[in-house]
Amino acid sequence: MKKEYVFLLNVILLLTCIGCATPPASTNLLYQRLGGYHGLELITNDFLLLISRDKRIVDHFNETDISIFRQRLIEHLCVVAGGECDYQGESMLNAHQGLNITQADFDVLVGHLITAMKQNDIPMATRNALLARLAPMYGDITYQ
Amino acid sequence: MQSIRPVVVLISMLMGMILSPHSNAQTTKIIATGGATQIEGAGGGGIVPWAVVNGYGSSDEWAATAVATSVAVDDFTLRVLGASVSYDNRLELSFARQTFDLDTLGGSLGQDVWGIKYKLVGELLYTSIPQISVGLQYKKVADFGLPSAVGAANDAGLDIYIASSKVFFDAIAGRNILLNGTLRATEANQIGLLGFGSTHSSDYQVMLEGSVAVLLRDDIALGYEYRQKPNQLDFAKEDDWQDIFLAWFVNKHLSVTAAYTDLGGIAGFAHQNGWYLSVEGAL
Repeated sequence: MKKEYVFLLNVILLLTCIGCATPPASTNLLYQRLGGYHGLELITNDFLLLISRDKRIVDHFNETDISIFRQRLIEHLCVVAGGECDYQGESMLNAHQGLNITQADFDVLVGHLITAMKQNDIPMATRNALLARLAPMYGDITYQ
Repeated sequence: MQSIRPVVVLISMLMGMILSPHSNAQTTKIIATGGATQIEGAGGGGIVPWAVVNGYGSSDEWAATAVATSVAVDDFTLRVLGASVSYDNRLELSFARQTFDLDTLGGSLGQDVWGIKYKLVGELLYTSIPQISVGLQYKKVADFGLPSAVGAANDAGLDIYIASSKVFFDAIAGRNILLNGTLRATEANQIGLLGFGSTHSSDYQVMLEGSVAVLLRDDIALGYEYRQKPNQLDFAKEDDWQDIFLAWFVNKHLSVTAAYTDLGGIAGFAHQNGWYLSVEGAL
């Protein structure tokens, strides 16, 4: 089976588990504007689907355990958005060490994240507020 | 007579790019981050070159653009045809042919502009420092007769600029804004359409150009630009230029920019205001 399809299958399997996690309480505005924990799950699911269908980027995830990656991504977005989640992953710098993420890869991911947010009807101001917090991570993520 | 050689060279560059086995044109950059194409052919706004690299190629990718622009003010019409190729979101090569119709006086002026731009540092969207690029624009007038008659010293000149651009996310009412500042060393009269230098001063002058734009949507930018210009010819005062523009990035292959421009006095004709319209295609 082609790697993209393995990835896609993993994503689809995971989607059947939406709502399994308990949303932590939070009063943070951006976190809430993104739909809270469940909203971030939906955005992340769409984001992973977009990645799985993109030949430019999918190979970077060949060695990735998608269920763990998904969980860390949700936690990370939660923390970045000011939610009270416990991010159990590594720092952005350490997590991307040796992966040789290029600017083009990063641009692709940003594009897919914007699309995923749009698919979940996240308003422009909320999208931009999240991008404002994610954009400075460029230096830690690329060319490591 | 202007030869068609530059056009042939550009088409050859485009064909080479498209046919090269290792370099497919890509559209990876985020929508609107390629900017529009300014009247001298560089990626930018309408009249100011920005630090952005034209087109949507990101790292290790090619991009190409073609643009047609018309600026119709009271007594003159500027028409521009241009094209660019870019690589690695870092290097931009461009060509623009300007034709300046003297609608009231009769006749026309024109020049060719060859441009190169190189990104030094920074990333428009991602780094705390702005994206900073340097550029050259080599300009040569089509016919030196009129520029010479009004006191220009040379029929060709080289502009040197440094541009600094940055997008600020969620800056005003949840919208992103772009700020750009450009310093240009130039000896051009009316951007070169009236030649370069004058019989009594042929020194470079450093001019300040600036742009501010707010992204009303991801794909629509509303902005203002100001371009300071030298004033070296005795026969008529030359004014700074400004415009208010609205750019719609329909998709990563097509954008349309409309603007209302104030070009001040040109060749003795005061208050030259009018409409700017530009259509750009990108690979």
